[in-house]
Amino acid sequence: MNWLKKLIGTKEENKSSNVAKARLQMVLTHDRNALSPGLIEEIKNDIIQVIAARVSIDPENVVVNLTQDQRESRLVAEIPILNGRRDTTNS
Amino acid sequence: MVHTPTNIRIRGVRDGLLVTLGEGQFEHLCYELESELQQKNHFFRGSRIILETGHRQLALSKLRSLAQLIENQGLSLWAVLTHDTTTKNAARDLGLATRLPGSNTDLDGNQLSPSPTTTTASPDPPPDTPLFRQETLRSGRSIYHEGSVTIIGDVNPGAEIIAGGHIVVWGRLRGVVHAGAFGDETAVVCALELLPPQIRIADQIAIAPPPPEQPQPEIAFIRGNQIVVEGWSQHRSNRTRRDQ
Amino acid sequence: MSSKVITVTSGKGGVGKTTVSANLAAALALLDYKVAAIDADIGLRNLDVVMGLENRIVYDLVDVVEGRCRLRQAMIKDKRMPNLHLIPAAQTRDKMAVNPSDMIVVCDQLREIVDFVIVDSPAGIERGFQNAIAPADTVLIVTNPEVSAVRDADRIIGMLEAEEKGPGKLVINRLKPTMVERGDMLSINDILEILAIELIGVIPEDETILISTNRGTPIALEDTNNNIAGQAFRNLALRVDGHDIPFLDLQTKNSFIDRLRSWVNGR
Repeated sequence: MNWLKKLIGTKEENKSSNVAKARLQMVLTHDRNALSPGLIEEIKNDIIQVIAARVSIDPENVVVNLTQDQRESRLVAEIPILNGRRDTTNS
Repeated sequence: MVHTPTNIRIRGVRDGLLVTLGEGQFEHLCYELESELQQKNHFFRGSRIILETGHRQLALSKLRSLAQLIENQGLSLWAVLTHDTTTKNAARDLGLATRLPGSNTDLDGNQLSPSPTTTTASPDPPPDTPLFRQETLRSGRSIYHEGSVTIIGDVNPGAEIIAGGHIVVWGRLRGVVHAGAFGDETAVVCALELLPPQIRIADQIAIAPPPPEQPQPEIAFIRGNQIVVEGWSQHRSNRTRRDQ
Repeated sequence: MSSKVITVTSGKGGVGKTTVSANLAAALALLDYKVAAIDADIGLRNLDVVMGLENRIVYDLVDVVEGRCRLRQAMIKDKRMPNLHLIPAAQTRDKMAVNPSDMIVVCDQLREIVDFVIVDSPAGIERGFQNAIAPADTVLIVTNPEVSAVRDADRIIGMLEAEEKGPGKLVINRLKPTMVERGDMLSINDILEILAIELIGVIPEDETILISTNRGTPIALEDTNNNIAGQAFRNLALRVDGHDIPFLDLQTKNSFIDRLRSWVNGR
């Protein structure tokens, strides 16, 4: 159905209004909190250090995001913990 | 030597020079006002005058002659603050303001009860005490005070401070200053960053020297018939040497 | 009913604040309310020319604040609508000529004589904006379906909340339904999702608005059949007055291509 799609136009995600919306959400989350992406990266590293000192985690898969719910902002961290094993090398 | 008038009070306010007319015959007041403005002419140079006349009734002709008197001294009448309707109408006929923006009064000049939303500027202190302000003076602001003046904040280009005593700016001084305006040659001007286009102390005037390479607090004072500027550390060591 | 002061602001310039102010004021006057509009810009005059009252200016807002005239002397009465008045801006370069407290004093006195005061705010976030929001009971934020306008609107909402005047209500101006349907323009829902405040008006892009500005006749006053923009402004006025009016259906008629597109995209 490609010829039909060409007739109709671009795909949903590429529509410029959706691009605009995504860009706005990104820029406003940072405007509202004066938090640059660089700063969030540093916060992520700080969190990894603090948590890793107490419990074994998987630092590669730690995710820290700034999210928006209505006009409330949240810094949300997802920290995978390695199953049951305590890191014995530090004790 | 400061001449204290009996029925006229003149003091600097944010919007210009406030001239308060007291009791007495109109002609006597005119005479006093004229001599006061003449005597302190260099002090008041170019200011705009706000006349505060209380309940005194001043018809158009009287107000006009006051305006003329003020103009003859190289000043301009800008506003008339009054509680009298005739005077207010006369002022409006002359195109003058009858209220100060930001003042705690309604449009008819009645004092409003203090509320959290209205701005209340602190009243100016009597002339012989030091004047202290914690704010940045923007272009167009003038401060006239017979005592010393201390500002915590910047003094921007286009602002001016004229003081009978010392002038201390805890910030960046880039406006015009005149310390010791009544002739006190011991008055000084200090600033964290002394960058005014012109400094006057008593009767001496100096164009500002080039700024120091490293910003540092500086003090300007009269030594041997001219204005000199010293960095604070140099001045301290010079002073301790002299004091010994 | 006690009088209300409504400030119209936006942050970004050129989004249509003044047009919204003029038409909201006119539409409220059409509802038989006594209305005073104030141009709160200092230095530039806009509201007078959009309302077609530019030749009648004698006194302005600074004259009122400085007591050079009585309040009523500065209120220009619109000849078409005698219950509609304008206090024009001063063309002075002194930005400090009016303080927020002065605006409160002026609006308090206006509350005694009119039902609605509409304050047209200048663009930006400096003294003119501070002056305009100081007396407000309600703030309307005007935006366009465009990234920089929405971003600035967001900033303004934040500032309003900080001044305890928030969050404000949204007016989306210059919406083009065909572009929205094609996905080339942010939709009403997109904007509401991003800004998350109550919507109070949607005004479509309409050539007749410029034509009416050319003539100095607010389009809300024109009662012709195809006047969607005028109707949108009148609905805005009704909502400001507290009525619950549904938003106009601005969808264009469904064309064959549109239906095909919907089917292909699996909507």
